[in-house]
Amino acid sequence: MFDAFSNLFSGLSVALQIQNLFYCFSGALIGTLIGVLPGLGPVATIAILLPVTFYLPPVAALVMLAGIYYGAQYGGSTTAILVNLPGESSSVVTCLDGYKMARNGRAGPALAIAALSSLFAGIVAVVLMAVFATGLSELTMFFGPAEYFSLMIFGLIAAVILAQGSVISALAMVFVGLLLSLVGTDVSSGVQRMTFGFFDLSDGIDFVPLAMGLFAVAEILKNLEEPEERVVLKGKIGRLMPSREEFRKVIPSALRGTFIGSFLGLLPGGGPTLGSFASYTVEKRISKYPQRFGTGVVEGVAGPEAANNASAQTAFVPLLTLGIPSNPTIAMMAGAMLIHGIQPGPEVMTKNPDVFWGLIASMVIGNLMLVIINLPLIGVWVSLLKIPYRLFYPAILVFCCIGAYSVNNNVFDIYVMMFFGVLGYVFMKWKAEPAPLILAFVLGPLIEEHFRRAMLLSLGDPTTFVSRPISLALLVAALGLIAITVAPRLRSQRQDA
Amino acid sequence: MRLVKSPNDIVFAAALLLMAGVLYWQVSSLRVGTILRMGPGYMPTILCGLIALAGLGILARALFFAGEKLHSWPFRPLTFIFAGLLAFGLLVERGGLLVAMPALVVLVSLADRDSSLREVAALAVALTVFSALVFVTALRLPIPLWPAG
Repeated sequence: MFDAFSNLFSGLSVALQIQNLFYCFSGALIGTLIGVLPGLGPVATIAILLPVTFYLPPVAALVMLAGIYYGAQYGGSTTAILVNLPGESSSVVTCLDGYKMARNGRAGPALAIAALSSLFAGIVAVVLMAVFATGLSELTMFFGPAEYFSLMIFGLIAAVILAQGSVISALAMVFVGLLLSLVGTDVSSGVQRMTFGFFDLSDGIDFVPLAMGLFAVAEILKNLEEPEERVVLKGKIGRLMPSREEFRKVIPSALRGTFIGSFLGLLPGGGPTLGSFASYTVEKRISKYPQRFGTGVVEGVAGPEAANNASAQTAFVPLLTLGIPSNPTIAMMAGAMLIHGIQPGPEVMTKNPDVFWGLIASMVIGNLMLVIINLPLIGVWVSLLKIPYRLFYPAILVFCCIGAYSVNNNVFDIYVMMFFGVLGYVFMKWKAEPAPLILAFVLGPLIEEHFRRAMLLSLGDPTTFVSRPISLALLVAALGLIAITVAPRLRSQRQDA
Repeated sequence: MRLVKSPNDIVFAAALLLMAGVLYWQVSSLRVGTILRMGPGYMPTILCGLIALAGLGILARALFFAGEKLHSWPFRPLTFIFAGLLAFGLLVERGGLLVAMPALVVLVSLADRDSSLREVAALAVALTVFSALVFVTALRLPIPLWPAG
């Protein structure tokens, strides 16, 4: 416990270096920007910026990319409150009460509550991260290949459950993602798999153009087909300061949101969206006036906003301690670490302590910067919302093309992006989300490798996954997740039919 | 009562089955091996099977549960986005950024019906200058600027 704090302070000294401060600020600024602008999320943005970070030192690169991720949580709530459009999926629930508050003339306080709850959650989450990470990294001693395999299966199942649409479509996306990850040269035999004779595929499909295609190009195709209505709130935002009574209600909600979010962020498959939904449900259930939720109550803004920011941060813990990315954005961070020669996993803490603690500590600074970026400068972000989409999407595509080309200086990656853009769009038409696919794509090689090792250790006995207690517990938990989601859905579908 | 209750799902199922089939054809020549000594074909074969199973599941659902009708395909965005990206890919190494980028911006802008000539021209110039200055000059990404001569 004490170690965690002293490490956190040494991390702070890394984060406070002038260069890292600059990249932290850039990340927070870009994060807010993409959070405000609907149609461009953190996954696509990190994919676009990855090639640019090749030339930065690892700490600076990771600090910036992380800033984009949690910065997007701040920006996302701005559009949710002012335009009733969630900038990110994690701010969907903020629309419910945040937009109503704005309609009731309380736009300023709603924005302030969202930002301050996020700030509070962000700082508490950093402390929790330091504690959790220290604890979890000790747990990894008990993790063999079988446990890692089961943990990743659990994470994928959780991603399936959280995806919109049906369980079977999401499962299909997981299988497709896993299979795509195996394209290229097999590490253990050197044989080419599924390359269709393309030489450029012998190193496998690069995840940067894949993510850009699925999350940026596909999204643009969808938005061009169904233009969004953007009605920016008319009139002044007004005073930002919430009233004393609002403050009194906000504090317990923000606290609960922080803890719910921090915990859910740790789970494989978890993250900001899950955190914010869970927090809203809890706030509504324990409220003395649940019927007023959805009409502009402050608890409905404070809780979810605290939760989404807290889970965005604690979601880094499984990556930094176990090496398992728990959601698509974190999977992009895993890619960023690999590019900089850092293998995500328990060794990060021992081999690269400055990266580990510097990254965690930078989140305190980033959160403080974000409040400044968001509250006084709110007018700037609102005016950005007035830019028509037709001027905006060509710019995204320009950045995507430059990003895709720069990964390997290979035109082939642009075509990969194009291919997955169309594929992702088609999948959306079929009500299948790309999030489970990209997570499976990143986990695929790890799953194959750990499965292979587990089989070697158990001499080919597949019961090793259920005879080892931690592994069994993870698999049972995964089955339980499927059971609780499929059962009620089947019943309601039968009634519909 | 129609036989197919969800045409949209039928197409999805067919696509998954086709994908499983094509990829299985790609990996069928690879050694599968045993569970103890997994060959390169082990996981891909299992996954092709699982994709096919998911496809069959969605097919069954399409026959028994009501779902969506077939979607229409938006011809204009698909064509022009595709054309723009293809043009950039074909031009960037031969023509350089100063040729490839305006081509990209102009083509993809045609995907939106409301684009006007003046706006597109201004956007193409602005984005090209911005990219050249930021990505090539400042960040030194190795992208050719001028046509290869």
